[in-house]
Amino acid sequence: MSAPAISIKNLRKNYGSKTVLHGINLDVYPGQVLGYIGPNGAGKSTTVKILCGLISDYEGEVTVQGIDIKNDPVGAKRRIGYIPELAELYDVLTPSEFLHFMGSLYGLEKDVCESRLTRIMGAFGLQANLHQRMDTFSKGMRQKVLLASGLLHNPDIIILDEPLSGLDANSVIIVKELIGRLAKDGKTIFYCSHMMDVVEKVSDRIVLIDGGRVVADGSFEELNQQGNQSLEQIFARLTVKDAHHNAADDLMQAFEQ
Amino acid sequence: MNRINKALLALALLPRNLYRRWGIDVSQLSAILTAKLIMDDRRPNSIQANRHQRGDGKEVKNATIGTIILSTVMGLVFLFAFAFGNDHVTRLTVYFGMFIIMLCMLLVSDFTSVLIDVRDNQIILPKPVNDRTFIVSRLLHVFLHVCKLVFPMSLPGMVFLAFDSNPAASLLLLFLAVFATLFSVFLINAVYIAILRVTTPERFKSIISYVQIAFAILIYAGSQLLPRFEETAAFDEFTLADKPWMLLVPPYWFAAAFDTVFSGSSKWFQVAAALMAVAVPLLSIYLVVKYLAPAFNQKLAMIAGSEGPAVKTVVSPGAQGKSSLSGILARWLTKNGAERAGFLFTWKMMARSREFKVRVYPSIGYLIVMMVAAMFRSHGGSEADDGFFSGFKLILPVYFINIILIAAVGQIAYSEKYKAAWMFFISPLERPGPLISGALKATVLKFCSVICIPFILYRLLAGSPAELPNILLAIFNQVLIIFGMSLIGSSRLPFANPFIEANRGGQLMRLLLWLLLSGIVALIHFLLFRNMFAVGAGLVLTALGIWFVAQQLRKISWEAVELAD
Repeated sequence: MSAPAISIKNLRKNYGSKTVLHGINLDVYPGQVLGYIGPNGAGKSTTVKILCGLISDYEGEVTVQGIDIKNDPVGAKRRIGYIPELAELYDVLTPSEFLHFMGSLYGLEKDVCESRLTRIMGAFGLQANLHQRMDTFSKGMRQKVLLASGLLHNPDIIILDEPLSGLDANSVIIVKELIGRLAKDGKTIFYCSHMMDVVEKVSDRIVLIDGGRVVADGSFEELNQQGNQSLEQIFARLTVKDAHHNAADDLMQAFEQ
Repeated sequence: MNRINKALLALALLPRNLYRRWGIDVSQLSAILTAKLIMDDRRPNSIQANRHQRGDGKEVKNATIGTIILSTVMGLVFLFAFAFGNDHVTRLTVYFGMFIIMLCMLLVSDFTSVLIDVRDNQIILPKPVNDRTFIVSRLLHVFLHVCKLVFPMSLPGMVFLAFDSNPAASLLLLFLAVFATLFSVFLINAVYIAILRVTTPERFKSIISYVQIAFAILIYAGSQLLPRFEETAAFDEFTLADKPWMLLVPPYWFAAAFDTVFSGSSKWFQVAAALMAVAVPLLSIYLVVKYLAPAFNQKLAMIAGSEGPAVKTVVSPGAQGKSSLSGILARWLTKNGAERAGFLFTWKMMARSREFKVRVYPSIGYLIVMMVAAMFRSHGGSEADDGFFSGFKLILPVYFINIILIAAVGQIAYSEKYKAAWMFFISPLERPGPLISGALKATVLKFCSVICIPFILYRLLAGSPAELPNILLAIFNQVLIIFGMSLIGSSRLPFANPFIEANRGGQLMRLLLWLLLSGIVALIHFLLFRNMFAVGAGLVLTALGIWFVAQQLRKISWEAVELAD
């Protein structure tokens, strides 16, 4: 196997006295689609923020294509495309203006940027809205602009955080297919989500973290050694500590008066 | 982008070689500034802010030009300073005082929305932009923004001085205005950091709103009281020029600097002040760049990231319902069910919604100023001329509460979060009347009592208990008018409509009708107020009227409700 695209070694992170990541070790290789899952508060977002160079006061070593994020955050960021979940946009701009702005931050030529953004937005069916201010856009339209802004500079590593939020079924199909094609092209995909069925389908390797530790790492088939379980069931088995399947019972009992 | 912004951008990018030497990516810098300036142009400024609330308003374009015009108008207002006192120093102290206060006000509101855009952290920071480029882009943006405010603002003063004395004087004014601006930026920064240290940005925004409310009231009070001072001789003779304690007042430094350069004054404290006018801003801007700005950015990064303190479980005051004041009042005044829900909902929303407070609280301030001014007048001089009339004058201020009630009742229908009103429409309510009457009761009770209870206490102490029936009658009359107007006017659910400035004409008609009714009722009350029997009968009748109208309000049907969309 070639050198890892993303390499995380003994990554620890504290917020004050609270430790969020207890030493994560992870190598992700080009062409892999990594599904990164875990319950709320497991440390997923923190990992993603560190990978994107948004948090720098961590312990351990994180490299992207051999570049240490702490030493050269700008160099690392240049190789990454980050698509956050329903994030903020400068919504008084039009998609065309916004994407040109994003493109010039990555040093893209104006013409290249223009042709790419027209095609991407066209593929998402937003050609007609290219010069309309985004403050009137729906959730799905905004998410499409975010997807475009993350892919515009043709990055080798793509980090997606719940990228399907608000998208309609057709766009979901497009994005899922796109992920497969990008991976085939040798890109590295880091896919963070709570939607187990999608993760199960798109990713060829799944990492489950809980309480800041990796608790499972492998393909779906490897995780599913008992056979005939869905990822959702595996997830529940590995992350539920107390008998919280009784929660539904408790809920039902609430109506008994 | 319009020409002004293009020119500003070109100006900001002039030292590009210097930027490059500092390790700044000039093309990124230009891209960021371009985007920021375009956004500034589309963001409604303080005058246009109300016009554009949702997508339904017109798109804002060229807000920059609006900002420039607004600043010029303010600069014109500052010229009033030159009508004060009898010497240059006094006038300029007032001028710079207004200048600094106004600039701070504008900057404070812009800092939260324009200059420190927390979205930057999400949008720009994950991109390959180095820290220096990012920080310089922010500083340059602040600089350009301040230019757009300061130059138009000092222009009228410069023109005035050019004619009044000579062009050199106007250049001197501009020069000092730049230093005053540096000082204002420092003030804002320091205040901002001090406040962020003790509270959250959300809270901070409410504090700013209160400052704005207080300022609006202050200006109103000034406009009411200043003309009265103007008649006195002291107004013209008034001088600040020869008082050493003025050294503690920053606007005086700039005025003294002007005078020192211009007329070569050599009083020790004036020269000292002139030195401070130059030294303090330079020192303060050094402090901003060296210490305050980094701390500031750190703090902001904290806000945007998930690093903020976890959500604490706290119980809001009044949230426990039963034993709270609102709970008790609700049980007395409303029927169980939708009406009580409407009452409690409105009571809490009024207390907690910042936008509601900003729109309504100033009118309370205006009212207090008016009442004080009215009492001032009734106490001063003319008391002897007409004993009959002056007796009624003591009650008259109560009729002014309609100013608050109009503002408050007019605003409870609106909210920024009007979409949350879906909860009313999915509820199995047969008619929305009880909700509306509950909301109205809460509003009237809250705002009447804020003014009326202190007023009654004051009259009981200063006057006699015999006035009480008349005061109560005046209050009851107002409540009856409000209830009646709500019944015949269009019905709206509380906090369920977006702010639209449309239908101004209809609102004006309503307002006039309202005032006319109040006037007629006040007149009738005036004719009767000595007759205790008539007053007693009036009290009973109005109380019955209020009860009757409240019953009718409860019957408002879904068809009668004006909907948001």
